[in-house]
Amino acid sequence: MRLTTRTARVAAMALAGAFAVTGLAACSTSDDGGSAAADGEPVEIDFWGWVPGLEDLVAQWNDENPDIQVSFHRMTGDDGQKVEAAVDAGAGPDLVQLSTHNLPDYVIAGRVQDITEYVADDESNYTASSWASVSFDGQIYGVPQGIGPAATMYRTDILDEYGIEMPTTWDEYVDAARELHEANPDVYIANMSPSEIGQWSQEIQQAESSWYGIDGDSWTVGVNDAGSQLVAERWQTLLDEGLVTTEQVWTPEYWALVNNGTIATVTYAAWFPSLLAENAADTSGQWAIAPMPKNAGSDNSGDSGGAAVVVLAGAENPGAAAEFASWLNGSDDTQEALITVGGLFPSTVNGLASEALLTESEFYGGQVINEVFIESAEQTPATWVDGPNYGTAQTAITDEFAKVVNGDLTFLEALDNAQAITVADLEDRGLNVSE
Amino acid sequence: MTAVTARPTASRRRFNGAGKPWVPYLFVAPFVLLFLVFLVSPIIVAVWNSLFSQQSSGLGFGGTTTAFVGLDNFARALSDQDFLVSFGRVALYGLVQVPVMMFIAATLALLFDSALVRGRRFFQFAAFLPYAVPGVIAALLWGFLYQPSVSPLIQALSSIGVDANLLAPGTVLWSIANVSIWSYTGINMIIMFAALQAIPREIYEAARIDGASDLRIAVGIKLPMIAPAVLLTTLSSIIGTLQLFNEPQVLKNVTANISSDYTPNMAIYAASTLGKDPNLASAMAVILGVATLIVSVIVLRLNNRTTKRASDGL
Amino acid sequence: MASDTLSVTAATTMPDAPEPGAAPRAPKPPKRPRGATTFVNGDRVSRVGMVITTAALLIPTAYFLVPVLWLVVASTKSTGDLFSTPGFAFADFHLWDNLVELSTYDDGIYWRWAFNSVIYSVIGSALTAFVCALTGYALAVYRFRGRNVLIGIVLGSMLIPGTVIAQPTYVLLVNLGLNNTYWGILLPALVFPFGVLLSFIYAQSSVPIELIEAARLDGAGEFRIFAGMGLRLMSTGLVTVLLFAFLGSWNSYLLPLLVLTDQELMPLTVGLTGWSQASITIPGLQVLTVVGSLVSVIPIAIVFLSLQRYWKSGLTAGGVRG
Repeated sequence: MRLTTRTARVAAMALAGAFAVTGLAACSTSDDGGSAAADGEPVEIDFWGWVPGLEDLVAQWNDENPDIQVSFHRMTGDDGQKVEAAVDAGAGPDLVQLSTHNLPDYVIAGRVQDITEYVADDESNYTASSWASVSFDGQIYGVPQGIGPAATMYRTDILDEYGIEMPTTWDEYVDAARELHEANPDVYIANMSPSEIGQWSQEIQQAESSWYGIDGDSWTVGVNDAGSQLVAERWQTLLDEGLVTTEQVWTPEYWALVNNGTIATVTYAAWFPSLLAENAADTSGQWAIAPMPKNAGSDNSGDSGGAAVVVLAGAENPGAAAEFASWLNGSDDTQEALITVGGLFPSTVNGLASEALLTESEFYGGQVINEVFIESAEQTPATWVDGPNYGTAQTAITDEFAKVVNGDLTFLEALDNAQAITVADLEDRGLNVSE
Repeated sequence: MTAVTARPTASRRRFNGAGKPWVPYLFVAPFVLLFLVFLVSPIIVAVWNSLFSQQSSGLGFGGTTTAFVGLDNFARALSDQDFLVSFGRVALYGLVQVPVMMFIAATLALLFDSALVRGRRFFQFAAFLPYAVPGVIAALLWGFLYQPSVSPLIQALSSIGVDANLLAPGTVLWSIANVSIWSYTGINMIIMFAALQAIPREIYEAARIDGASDLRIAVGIKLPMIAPAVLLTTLSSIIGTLQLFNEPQVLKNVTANISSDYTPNMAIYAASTLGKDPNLASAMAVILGVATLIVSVIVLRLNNRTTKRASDGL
Repeated sequence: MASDTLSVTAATTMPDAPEPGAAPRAPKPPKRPRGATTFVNGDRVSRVGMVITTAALLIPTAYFLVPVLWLVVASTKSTGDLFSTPGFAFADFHLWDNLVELSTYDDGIYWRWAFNSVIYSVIGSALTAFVCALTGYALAVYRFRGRNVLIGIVLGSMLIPGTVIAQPTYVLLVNLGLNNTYWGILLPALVFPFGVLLSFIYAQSSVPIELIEAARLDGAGEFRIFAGMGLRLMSTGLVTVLLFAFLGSWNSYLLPLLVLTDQELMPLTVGLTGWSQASITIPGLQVLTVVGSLVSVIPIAIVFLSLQRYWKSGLTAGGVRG
């Protein structure tokens, strides 16, 4: 429904003109933010983001930089989709926080600006994989902001009660699932949420696979490739034997199951432990964190994806916007706040060196939990490539997985369907796809 | 029936504007202007958009161009099986939800009109109250009541031996229908009740003297007399069914059994926001609009006699 | 029934009086009540039937009220108790704490949303009713070229799915510079074909052309006749339009979601839904969403109670003739 064609915009402008004639539009003249800096006038930057504590960092910046004043809008739920509608209509903010999975789409649709000239020098402060996630065709389209290395949070009390060691490989994990469920039919080793795509993709990355790849001038699609099939077979076994629950993460139902000990382990990204601590406060001290289980013969870990701050197409002062983004994500001033208040796992060298990263967590029995995530980040293979229709692929996969959980399909069939949908959609856009 | 329609229209000579022919136009101008700007022009834009497509080439990093593709988007939408299934789903939903809701609303309206009820204001207030809860909030509220571990309703059912899963693939459609019935029965009841209240009591008296029972009067006289009100509410309920969005979209957060293209409107939203194909979404929206129009016309045709009478009143 | 709310002049049109020929037999005086029956509004009613019916009504009433009851009970709980104590049982009483938290969270943004909702609904519905009244009155009182076309368009446009035009409307508002403004929400809501239809029907039945002509002979201008007499004669019908427009704006979600980015301008529906979605990362918002929903229902309940007496007459027009 979004309006993007230039002709349509012209038509709308014509109508707007007609409207203005009546005088009703008199009350509506307002300039978008980000107008060029006249002498002495500060540049104004609109920034939308969701990381906790950004308000304070923005205030700090505004104090220190009278020339570039940033106004912050906290995004909730549906705002992600709003950004695109706003950018396409020419009413978007200057800067926005974005999942890097969606970045290729933004680049192709021309919704983000190339900021290579402003941020190229920052490269040395970022991990190679995070920098790669904002680079397309040799140009830089954003400043990385956090990544999502995975590890497994587990209930020490429950595993101890049934004499089960935290598994180190997926094979052991499946065995442990059986043992646990046999010992107590009300306890499940994990929850398989058909809609929580990050928990799926972190294992795809661990298996050195990727939904997308680039082959010369063509995209490749690997939604059902060998690595995905390996993961699919594992969860098919767990599902078929009734060893996992299948609730949606983020629902009261899910948190009820976590709180009452129905779910014994959660494997997810580095930002998850603080949410777990918030939502299951009564279980404090009963959790610990271990590396995620490994595939046979590999030390690989996985990552569910990171974010970046990008300069949107409508920004009139991309330089000023990029300067702020560069400070926000990479400066020594901000690392501690991003880690402790924001709950981010840093993608920066100075962030990884920050002492804030290595604090002990009471909820996790005094463990320095980020030691596990640091190791996970080091063991994550750089095989994942983001592609142009991540939204379509993700929707196709989650819709198909819902049918798997209901027993109407197998994971392998679901992946084949999602693969076909993803490829067809790329072709509809006129993009090259090679098999 | 005659009572509702016959009006002494003969005595109503209308000003034809002679002398000041611009007066009536001045009166309707604000509406017409707003109508053109905020209803007609967006429709034109939606139809226009549906004829184009964003095309890239190679890896796509060279940018996109907008190409005229004629009816291609319509062909794509109509060959998308899930989109077509979503129409079947809302049709099934509507065939059950609309009659059930109308039955409850009409029964309540007739009871409230019958003087058989004490404390009528309280009961009417109770029936209306759900309508005061905004649709998205109502869906959030019922979402809590549908989740077994947190729902007092499911726990109560379970304690008497009923194992209910209100979010299973087979039941979730009816759980959505329940939210709509809960929300909108009250307002439909009120519209029908108001219509009933306008009927002169003397009409029933005549039937009563002929020995007709209350039930007979309710079904045989009262209901036909408020047929236009019933038609109005039914029609808007059917339109609401075809456009079903808020309730399933919110409940989607608590169950995977509502797919992203569960209803036509959700499919449009998904195509636009998740699939990032606004042109395809425009075509789908136009298809939904035409479908709504067709269904409405069919319903109006089925009620031809009633409509004729209603339009006589115009 | 309507006569108690209509002015004396309006009563000359006898909106609710029996039509000629409608009741062929003159109404007989009701028979004397016998033991088990009583009379209510002239209807003979069995006492037993009344007790049974009233008791039977408790079932649908429970259905309508139970979720609201849950909302009330949940509003009194702390975040920790919300999902760990039985839904219909009171736990530690936190209603006051919750209300304080609701009022202070994010500098009291909730009340700003409530204020906005009131602005959108009150101003919006008043303007809508006025525009509808102007149009309906003109359609009823004047004969002019294009009148039938306009009536047809009004009828037809009631069938247009709102979501079809949500996105183009947004782009239009951006181009008009109205996105992220009060007017961006208010202006599109003024297009309310159903309200025009109701006003038209009501003007037809309640504005006698003789009065207009008499006023004209007195030299009154057309607009003065409308403002001084038409509006008053149509007032009960306009209350209906007002009510529907008010509820429509109060419940509106999709357009404000798209059009507004500034928290300070959002209505309750968008704000509360945002809280609910954000409660994923900020669990304390769950309880604020619940309390906020409860508080948001109260004004509508008051509006409803204060308009209850109008249903008998006001909604009639749309009901009987729509």
